[in-house]
Amino acid sequence: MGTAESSNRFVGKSIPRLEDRRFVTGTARYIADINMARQGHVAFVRSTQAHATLTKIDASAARSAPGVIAVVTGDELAASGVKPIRTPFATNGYIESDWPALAQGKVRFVGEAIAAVVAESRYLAEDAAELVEVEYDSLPAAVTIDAAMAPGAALVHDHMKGNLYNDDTRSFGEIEVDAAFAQAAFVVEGTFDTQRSAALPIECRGSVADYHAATGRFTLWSSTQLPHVVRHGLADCLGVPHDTVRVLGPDLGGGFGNKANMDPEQVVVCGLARMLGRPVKWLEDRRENLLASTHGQEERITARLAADAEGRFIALETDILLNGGAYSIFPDTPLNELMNCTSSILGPYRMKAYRYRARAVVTTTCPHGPVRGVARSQANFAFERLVETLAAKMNLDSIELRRRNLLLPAEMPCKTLTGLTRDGGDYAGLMDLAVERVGWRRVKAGQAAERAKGRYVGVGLASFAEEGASGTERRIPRQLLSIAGYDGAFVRMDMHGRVVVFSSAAGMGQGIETSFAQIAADELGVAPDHVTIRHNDTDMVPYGMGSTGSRSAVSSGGAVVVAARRVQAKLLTLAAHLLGVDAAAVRLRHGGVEVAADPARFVSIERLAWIAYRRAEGNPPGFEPGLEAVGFYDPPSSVSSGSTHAVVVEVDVETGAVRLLAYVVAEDAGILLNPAIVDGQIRGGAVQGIGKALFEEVRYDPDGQMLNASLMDFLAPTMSEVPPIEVVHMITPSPLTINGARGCGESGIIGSSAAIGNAIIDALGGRGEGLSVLPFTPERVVGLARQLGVRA
Amino acid sequence: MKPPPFAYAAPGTRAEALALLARHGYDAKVLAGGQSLVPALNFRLARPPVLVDINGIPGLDAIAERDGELSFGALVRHTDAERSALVARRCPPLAKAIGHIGHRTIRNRGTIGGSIAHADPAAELPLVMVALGGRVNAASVRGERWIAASDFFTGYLATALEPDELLVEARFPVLASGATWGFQEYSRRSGDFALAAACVTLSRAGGKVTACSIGVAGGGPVPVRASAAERALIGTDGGSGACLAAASSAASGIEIDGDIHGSAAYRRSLVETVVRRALWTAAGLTS
Repeated sequence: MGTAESSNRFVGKSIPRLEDRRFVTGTARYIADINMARQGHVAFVRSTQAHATLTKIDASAARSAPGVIAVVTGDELAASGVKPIRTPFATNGYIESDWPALAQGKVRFVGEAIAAVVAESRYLAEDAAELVEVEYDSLPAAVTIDAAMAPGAALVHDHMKGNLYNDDTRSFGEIEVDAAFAQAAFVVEGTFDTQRSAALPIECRGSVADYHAATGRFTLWSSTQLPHVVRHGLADCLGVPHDTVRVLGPDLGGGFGNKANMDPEQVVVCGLARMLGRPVKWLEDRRENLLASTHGQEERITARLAADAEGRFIALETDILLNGGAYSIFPDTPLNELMNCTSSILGPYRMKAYRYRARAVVTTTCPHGPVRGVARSQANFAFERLVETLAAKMNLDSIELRRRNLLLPAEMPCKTLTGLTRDGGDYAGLMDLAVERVGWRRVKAGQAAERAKGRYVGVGLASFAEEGASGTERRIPRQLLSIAGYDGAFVRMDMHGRVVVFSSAAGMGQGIETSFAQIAADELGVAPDHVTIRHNDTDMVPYGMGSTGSRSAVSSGGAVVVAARRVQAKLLTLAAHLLGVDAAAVRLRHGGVEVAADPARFVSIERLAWIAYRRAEGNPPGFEPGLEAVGFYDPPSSVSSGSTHAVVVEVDVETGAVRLLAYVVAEDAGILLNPAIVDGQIRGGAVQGIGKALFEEVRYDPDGQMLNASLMDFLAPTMSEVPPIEVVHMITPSPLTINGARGCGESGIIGSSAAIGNAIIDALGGRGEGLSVLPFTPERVVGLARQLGVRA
Repeated sequence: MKPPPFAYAAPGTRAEALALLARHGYDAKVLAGGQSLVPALNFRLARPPVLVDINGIPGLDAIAERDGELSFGALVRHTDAERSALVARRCPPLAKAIGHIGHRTIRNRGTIGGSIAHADPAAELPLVMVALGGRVNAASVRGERWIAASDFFTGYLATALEPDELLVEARFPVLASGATWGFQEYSRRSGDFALAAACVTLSRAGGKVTACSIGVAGGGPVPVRASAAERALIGTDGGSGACLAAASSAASGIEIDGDIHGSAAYRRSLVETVVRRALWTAAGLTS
């Protein structure tokens, strides 16, 4: 058996997105569009203090306010059988924080939910929420890593000594780290502080919960990237069997990690539906999203890099601190961020020895959660800044320095010291491609002349490898059991040859209804627009992880391959029987099955489908009716997309404004299911990366009050701040994945901070050191200019 | 982010609106374009018991030239002023400044009167009005009165308007014959409120600066005229060095507070930069 020729395949073509009709005509349905008869609307009473004992909650005035159905406190929710959120994590030394979905006894961050008001409308619920009187007995706040680790700092959780979730030290490599540093010709070091960021999906979170008392079944419509994981967590918190909880969702208006968690609000609405016997709806507003959903990526990375006389990297030592916030998020915990940071920091380079210490710090701030990139951007920033510092110290071109250390195609597939698989691609070739496309040499040649005219122009780059789509081998050892490493698909071809695929992925704008249709179309000989992808419904789709960690193309897409091939096998068997040849003699082509040696002998998909269901003509003996199959795909431990970002910036040395003149991403994500969709993913990621480099930062005051919980003060880049972003591909199919693809959903964001930072330093005539704190605000840029003696 | 309860009135005439304001006084808030008020309501930062929506009042949307001034009805939308040939011809710094107000959707809805009455210290129109010496007409059941820009902006988001008064008209002097001008603004992103902005005019005769105005916004509670810098510039040749000195004087002479977008020291340096760049533009110099 076989499949159609590659030129006839849909995978690899930029066909228009099949889901876009509803998006561009304004007819997509989001969680806000889900309404149930008799639904109550929830507004939360949220903590105004960062750290305090709750001495009194008086809801009597709120309960008698107009339209109020109920006001529920943490103690009342717990009494109804709702348990705190727990996040076991199989890593030595990790300490869990119990997170009551509504605070009990104590609050630990501003914005923590204290009580839920349910009313006939959100307006009335918010009016009544203002009437709930909360009395606090203040405790000292511990907002920053430094504050929480200071001697005598107040404990956020009494059982977590030193305000630490963990304290983990590990060594890797054939040689000993200290010995490697002792024999190094060059050692460079630095401390890098990366800002607290927000994922900022355009659609905020939201849930509608319904409980059917007679059957004990919960239905939760929710804006989530991980329906099965949320179901798992919810069932545990609600104390019910997992099969009694159904989690489903309509279209998602973006996720970026912000919806890759089981949130306290999801637990609360389910608990309220059970307590009240009526559906309840909660839509997060922007202020709640910025204040109290999740934040991420506030890290301090202290790193030392040792190299030999030729600049070959020998050893790396890192000490990584993460502001983990007040509670451990389900399912990732703060440790997932740390593990990504400690493992990805080795990049696409060779390294002989590595040691890290990694700690997640408990603070009185919004809990840490995944944000697109998940520490890889931060690790890349630290490492690629050190590469520049080393190059300066050696008086060597940093491109040449990278070239001496990048893994060569012949060395791959291989594993990094930390166990990440580098599965191929030409990393140096990608760097050269980015350098060429961005006009590197032309910019450098013209730099002095521009400077004489008062223009400060510079170039910068960052190379990395994005590991994604990690399978069970990598997931299970570090994660709780609710996270699978695999994904599932169920494929049904109906009696007219049209196909429905039920996928465990979650569509959140990333185009899976098109790219998965292309996969299924190739495996089943049909057109992509005859394939419908269904997702986001735990009662409907096979079990699987969902959409996070750059995995859908490989993992969920792989599951579509597996399931579709099972249906394809039936089509071939049936066709061979009808054509009177051996199964080995036929092959699939677009529209049907033919005899390989005599393509004129052909039977159409429509006819095969009709026969498979209706038995209109004789089926082979023992042929099982129908054309349905389920399949699962467990990806390799990990696969890695190589990439280099290269940028040209112009700096206004008086105001500190940074203008991006050119932005190039060179990328090898293996087989591109739909190149236009991949380009969109990368461009969108780069826009977020520009935000992280130049604009975005969640700010708190020392008392734990968030200072910029609105889009007026939390600065995300707009069209005006974003240059054209050129994406260029090399395509080296992954030898390890079923469809040759690699994950690249986060590649757009990973290199931005380092590349832009390196370019700003270059523009100001610096070499190596400088700009170790993100974001590069105008004030920090002006500070660097003054430090380097640059004045207009 | 839902507003607290409020009563809503949509008067069809100016007289009805003024009567409502007279009746409700401090309890009333005027709704024009709503670009600042509605977010403040949704954040529950503003809790007016009564909203008086003036959008239905006829005759408040005219742009005209009167006696050496450009007159704007309170309901003139920013976009209409931005695209007005009269404004571009007679008061180009105003046209330029309006282009910096928020984004297109904000300018389509936001009004000249609303922006001035809201009196955000970093907003463009109050700055231009102070720099050029404009004035507003405040109407109430008690009558009308003209308030000069220098008296109008009294503090952070505060004006000389009495609670029963409605800003019905704003006037900006047309640019003096032969005068040159410069407008410079620096904000973190396109469309953000200014971290620092400057609006300047220069008149020269016989190689000497004979008159000038230097308006500065950003950092302080109200836009201000840098009077000492203006005085120092008059009589000079208005060249590069004179402009530098004036900018330095302007920056050192005004009140500046730091915030999450920049320290006071940084913002002071920005003021110096935008004033100097605006002066250089007005003087026909390039930076």
